[in-house]
Parts: sequence; C-alpha cells; structure tokens
Amino acid sequence: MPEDSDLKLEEALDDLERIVGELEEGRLSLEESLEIFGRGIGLIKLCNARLDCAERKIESLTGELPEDLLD
Amino acid sequence: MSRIFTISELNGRIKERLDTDARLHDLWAKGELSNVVNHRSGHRYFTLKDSESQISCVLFRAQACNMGFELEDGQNVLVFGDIDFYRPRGQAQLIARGIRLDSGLGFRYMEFERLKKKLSSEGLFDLVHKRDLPKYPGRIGIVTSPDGAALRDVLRIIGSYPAKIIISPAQVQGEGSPESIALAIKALKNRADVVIVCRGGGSVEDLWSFNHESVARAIYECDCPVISAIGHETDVTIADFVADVRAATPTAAAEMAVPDVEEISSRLAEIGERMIRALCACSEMRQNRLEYLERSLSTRRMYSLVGESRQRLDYLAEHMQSAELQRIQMLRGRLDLAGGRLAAVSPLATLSRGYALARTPEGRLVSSVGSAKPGEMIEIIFADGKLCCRVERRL
Repeated sequence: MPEDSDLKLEEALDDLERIVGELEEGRLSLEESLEIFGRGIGLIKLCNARLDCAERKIESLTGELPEDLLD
Repeated sequence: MSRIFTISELNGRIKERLDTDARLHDLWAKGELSNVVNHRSGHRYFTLKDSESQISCVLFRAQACNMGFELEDGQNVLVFGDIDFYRPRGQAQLIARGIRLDSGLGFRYMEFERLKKKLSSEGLFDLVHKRDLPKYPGRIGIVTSPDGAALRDVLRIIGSYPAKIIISPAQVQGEGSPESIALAIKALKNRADVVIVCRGGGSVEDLWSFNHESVARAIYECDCPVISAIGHETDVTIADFVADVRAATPTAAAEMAVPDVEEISSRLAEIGERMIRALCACSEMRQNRLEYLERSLSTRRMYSLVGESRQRLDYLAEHMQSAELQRIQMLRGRLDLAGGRLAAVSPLATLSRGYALARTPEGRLVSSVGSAKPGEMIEIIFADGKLCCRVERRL
C-alpha cells in the first residue's frame, strides 16, 4: 500500500469515506477502530493541507505564458 | 509636388467616385450571411461573404419590415442595393434595398451538416463513448488561446483548487487554426485527467475551426474526458457533439471540471465529525456492555442469588422433613397393626379371661398331670402375676 502522503485528493477522500463507513458499522474491535480513526484524522489533515496550499501550479506546453498568468 | 489630402478630403473623393459609378448602383450581389445583427432601431446589419471576401451591409428598417423572412447566419442570399462609402470609417458598404433567399443553405452550413452526418454515422457522438468527468481531477488540461478571455475565465473559476493546470496553447481562429487546435489536444496525451477545449464568443466564422474534422477526431481520441465550451450558449459546433460534456461557456466548463473547494472543506469537516461520532458510539457501546456486566455481578445481585439458593434449600429441607415424618407415621401404623395382631394370639390374653398356666421352676410347661409329681414345686401363672405352689397329690 502506498504512503498516505502520496495519495491524490480523490483517493484520500475515497479512503476517508470508507473509513467512516467502517467506523459507523461498528464491527471493528476497539483497537482496530482507534487505528483507522487515527489514519482518518491524518487523511483529513492531509486533504486540508492540500486545499490550503493555494499555490497555483500552471504550466504551458509551449513553455510560454502571458505575463498576467505568471503570478 | 502632388497634393496632400486630409482624410476627410480623401474619403470624400472616394465616395464621389463610387457614387458616380453606375455599375455599383441597383446591383444584385450574392453571398452568405454572417454577423447578422437585428438592431433595436429596426435596421439590420450583417456581412455578406464568399470564400475569399466579405462586405458590410445594412438594411434599413423600412425595407426590413416587408422582407418576409428573418435573416440568419449561414443563409445564402441575393441582395439588391447600392454601394455606399461610409466616410467616418472609410469603409465601403452595401446598402440593401431588398433581400431574398438564394437556393439552399450556405456552403459552410452544408459542410457542417455533411461532417455532422458522417461523424455521427461513425459513432463519434454516441452516448456510450461519453466518459464521466473525474470528481477531483489532479491535472487539468486547457486547450485555448493563451491570450483569450476564455482562459482567464477558466483560471478564475478553478481558483485555488489544488490541481496542476497545463495550458496547451492553440490558435483558435484563422488560417491553420483547426490543425493548431487538434495538435494542442493531442499534446495533452498522458498529461491530464480532464481537458477543457474552449474559446470565447465570436462570429460563426470565428468559431468555425471547431467544426473541423481534425478537431473532432482529436477530441474523440483524447485519452481523458473532454469538456467543450465554444462561444456562447447558442453556438453549437461539431466539437460540442464529440466532447464528453458540452458547457455553455468557458466559465461553465471550469465549474464542471473542478469541485468547489469550500464544498470539499465542509465535506472533510463532516467526515471528521462522523468519524468522531462513530468512535464515541463504538466506545460507548463497549462501556454500556461493561456496565451491564458490572451490574450483573453487583453485590446486591449476589445477595439475591444467595437468597434464592437459601430459599431453595429451605424448601428442600422442609420437603425432606415432612417426607421423613410421613415415613415414621407409616411405620408406626404398621407397628400398631402388628402389635394388635400379636396381642390377639398371645396366651396372656387368654390368662386375662381367667385361665392360668402351670410351669416348672425351670420354665417347662406342665401340660398334663403326669408332668408333675407330688411334692414338686410349680408356678401358676396368672394374668397379673404368679403363685408358687407345691403339688400335694395326683388325682
């Protein structure tokens, strides 16, 4: 399994949905619940960090961008 | 030295020449309509053109109202009128006095229909080929003019959504633009999760590159879903038919391509809350179970358990006792019975009726007169005791 920090936003959100589903089902042992809860919290932090980092990544296949798009 | 004209003089001279050329008056011109504008003054402005040239035309209100049909882009028409030179802009124009439809539709329109039919029969527009847009695209390709307003509209909407934006610049109108657009789409192969092909509003000619077969095929062959947004809502191009999704405008295309960042944030918050609730519920459930077990084992319950046992013991004991008594009574009854029967056959009972027994002192029963000699001692046993007697004589 890949490290959570490598996950794409979509994959992270999918994982989160699954985790919530499992927790809500309530069939896991307390230890397992705590473990995936911890992972879920980590994923939420990761997603929020991705969203907060508003740094725009724009590139042009010709390598040239008009001045107003460079910032 | 030749004369130096002011522009007004120059335009005046040109106008004079055109006005006096009889061949430029009461003429018929044929061509395709484009840029038709129905001005609120009632006048109609439009461009008449063929494959190489075009001229601005105006049809004043008086003539416009009894035309019998509405002017539309793409129509082939015959225009009757005069050439005029509009001095303020230095532009020759055709002042139309009458218009009638030429047979059939414009060449471009026919070409459009031909290509649409061909690609449709090949299945390029089939719904089965329409792909869903990714919910959270990581890479967004944009095929458009880097200088156009469309690109800025798209970037503004994408805003701070955390995706890599790859601009694949294309020339979106004029000579060579269909090839340029097709190439720009192909250049995004393996580089994007979704591609937006867009262009701002313009005339039918301006948008015509998007009705080109090479553009249609490039969109069809693109390895990720394509959103088309060409011109305004009312403009429909072949590219729109092939694209996985058609957006009315570039802004709408961008809105379709990315989710709202705030929506994701609130979804994350909701997931967090649900996780915490679920975990609490999970531990609460265990706590409840523990409490239940604890209650089951409480002292009070133990006492009541002991009490229950004691009661049961008492019950058993009582039961046992009464059973014992019954047994004794039964035995006693049997004993009494046996005693009665025994008494009935006892010689003592006979003695009580007045009989007596004679016995030697050794205890031998004297049952006949020959059993005792005179002079011997015998015992006479009565019911209430005995007498010791001496035998006097035998009779």
